[in-house]
Amino acid sequence: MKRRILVVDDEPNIRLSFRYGLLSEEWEVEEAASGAEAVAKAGQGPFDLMLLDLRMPGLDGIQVLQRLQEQQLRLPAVMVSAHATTDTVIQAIQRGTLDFLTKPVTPEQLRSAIREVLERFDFARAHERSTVDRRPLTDEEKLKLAKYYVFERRYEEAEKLFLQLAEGPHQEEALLMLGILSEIGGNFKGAEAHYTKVLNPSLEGWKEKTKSRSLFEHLSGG
Amino acid sequence: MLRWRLSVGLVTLMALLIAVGIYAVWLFNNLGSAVDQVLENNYRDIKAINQVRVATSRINGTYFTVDRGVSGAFDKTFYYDNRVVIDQAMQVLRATQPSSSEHDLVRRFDVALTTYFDLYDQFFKPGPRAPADDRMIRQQIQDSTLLVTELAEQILQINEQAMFDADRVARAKSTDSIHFMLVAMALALLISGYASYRLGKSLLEPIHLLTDFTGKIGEGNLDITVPVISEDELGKLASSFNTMAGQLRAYRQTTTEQIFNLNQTMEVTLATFPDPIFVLDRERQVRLCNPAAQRFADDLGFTEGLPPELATKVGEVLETRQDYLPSTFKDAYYYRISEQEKSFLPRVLMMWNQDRTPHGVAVVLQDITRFRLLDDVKTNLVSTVSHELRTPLTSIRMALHILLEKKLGALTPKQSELLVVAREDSERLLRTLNDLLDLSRLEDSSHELHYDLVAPGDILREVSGETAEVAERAGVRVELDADPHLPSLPMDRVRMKHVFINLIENAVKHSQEQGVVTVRVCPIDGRLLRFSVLDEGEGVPAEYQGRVFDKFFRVPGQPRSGAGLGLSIARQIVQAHHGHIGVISEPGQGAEFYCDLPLDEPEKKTLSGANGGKGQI
Repeated sequence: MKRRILVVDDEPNIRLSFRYGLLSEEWEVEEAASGAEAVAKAGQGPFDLMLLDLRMPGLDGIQVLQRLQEQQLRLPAVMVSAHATTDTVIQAIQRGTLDFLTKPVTPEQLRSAIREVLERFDFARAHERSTVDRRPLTDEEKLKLAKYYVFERRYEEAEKLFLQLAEGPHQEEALLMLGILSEIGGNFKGAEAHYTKVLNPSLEGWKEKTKSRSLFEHLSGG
Repeated sequence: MLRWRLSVGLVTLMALLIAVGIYAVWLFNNLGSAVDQVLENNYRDIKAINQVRVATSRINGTYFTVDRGVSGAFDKTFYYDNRVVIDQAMQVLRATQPSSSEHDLVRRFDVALTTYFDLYDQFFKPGPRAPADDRMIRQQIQDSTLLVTELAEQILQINEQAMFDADRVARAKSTDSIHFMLVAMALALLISGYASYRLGKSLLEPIHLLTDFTGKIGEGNLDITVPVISEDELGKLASSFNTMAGQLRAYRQTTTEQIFNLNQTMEVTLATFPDPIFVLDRERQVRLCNPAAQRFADDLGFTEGLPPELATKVGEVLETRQDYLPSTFKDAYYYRISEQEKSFLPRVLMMWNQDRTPHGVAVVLQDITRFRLLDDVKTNLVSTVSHELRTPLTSIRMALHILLEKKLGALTPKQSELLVVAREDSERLLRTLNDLLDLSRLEDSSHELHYDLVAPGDILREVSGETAEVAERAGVRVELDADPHLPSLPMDRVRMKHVFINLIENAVKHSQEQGVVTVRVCPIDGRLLRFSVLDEGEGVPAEYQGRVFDKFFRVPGQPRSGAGLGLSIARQIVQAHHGHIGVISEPGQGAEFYCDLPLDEPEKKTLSGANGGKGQI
């Protein structure tokens, strides 16, 4: 069964190139030319993933996520943007979207990002379903699960996992996510404490750091 | 002439003294000799008269009572002896030149004596004589003796009288002299008193005047003139004093004029200066502000002092005695003035007294609103342009990549060739875009560096590893020359790697095949580390060496490669590290691009970040 992917972009050229880039037996591509159309289509049929442009006339990417959240529609998304600010990244994370791509992307980057997110959700859902006695999770698996919990807004479970990861090789990302989760919970002091651990000197420093492409790639899993 | 005047005063006194002295000596001398003369004459006469009287008495005693006898023989020896005495006395009397009365008496005395001697000659005549005759002679002798005695008595009286007279005259004369001397002394005292009074007055009066005027000049009253009373030394002193006062006046005039002019110049300059300027004293009280500062204060509605953040800066400057001269937008202060947000770059400068003690501070608020706006426009322009270019570039890039993946169909070699070229240039376009974005981010937030201690050898090894592929493709060898014992130094690893990679890629680009690029690090003065990238390429012409780090600058005549932003970004990063980037090159001899980084601690450099929220991803 082909995975259904919703490409949301106001630029027809982008939609076309994405459609051709994703042309394969794995995926079936549906397009939406605006935020409103995306929300409508998401409500109509089930999709596995959404490639969401951030900057669009009318509803923009963040507002689309907001609408879906309001309508209890759970649709994993990858934000695609030529120009995103730190604030929009945080807003997206607060709405469950942890994956970002910077335009211009290559078809390969596009595909690998989609595969990674799909795989994460597959793993997490399978993990949720399985009732047999589980073997201990690897750090990679914990990270996937934690990100899934963020998407599901199961913040307490996500926090628990990130706290475990905060000691391992994914320390930086885990601390960042813990900071953001604290912010979502309204605990700004706690957020600051997490940011301070990983970054100097403060949230400002973190915001600065998120400007660098390496961290962005880090966040987007690419 | 003062000397002359002094001499005149003193000489007059001396002359007076001498005259009175001489006169007194003459007077006393004269007086004495006159009395002497009188006494001498009279005494001689008196003595002679007495001799005559004694002699006549002796003659009378010896011969008058003797009976002459018949023959009348007498021993006449005694008579003649006395007669000689009398004759001698008479010579004395005759020799005197006494007064006429005495003279007359002497003549009569002389006659009387002659008669007396004639009588005695008759008396002594030998021969018999009648007793009556004898008696008669004797009677005559007796009468003559009486007459002589009487006359002698008269002459004596006259002489005594003369002596009394002389004494009286002398007495009167001496009394007169005493009176005269007293008068003369009184006169001399008066004259000398007057002279010394005049002299003192003429000497002291100008001196008192000068003293008064000196005091007044000392008090600053230069508009006075000492009256020149005389032409002597004191007069000269007064006139040279006036000259001095005049020069002082002229000096004060010019100085006052200069100060006035300077003040005017300063005031006009300050008034026309568009930026607010406050001058504060050491106690941080505003002492002076220009019209712009006044408007600034009025607009912000504070009547005295400065806004708190400025006051803090003033305090810091007064404490550290270091001028505060920021140069970046992040140090600007924002004030809302007449519904408009204005940016001011504060500059706080120490002012010093002549003895190098702090006098106060000057605060200049440079209005950089326009520059800030321009910079914002530029920054936004870059990001907007980048965004607007990236979106179309996305579909171009996607299309090229997808076509080259050949999933949509096979490509002829010529089609492939064209598409590969197009893909390469689209990549290049993307790099340029990213550079532009990087640059605008760096300019926006170059103070936001994240320092780690980095070993120089390590970072150079990393970058030469990362550039190995590029070098290999160009057939260039990259050699690393780094002492492993060099100290680590604080730097933002990611950004400095960007710098080194950029320099190495540039060097590779400008190298011939088989060329060598040397990457080297060495200490300078123990304070700096110099990282150098040396190539053997064509070098940078001297006239362009100063400009290669400018934005969009490319050395003319060189093959196009990139937008000319790489070195500009590198400079931005190195400067943010408080370092220096430069190039040393001789045309045809290759080029050495170096950056010097300080070895000291980075405390000063890690400024806390404000304005960081506008970051872009």
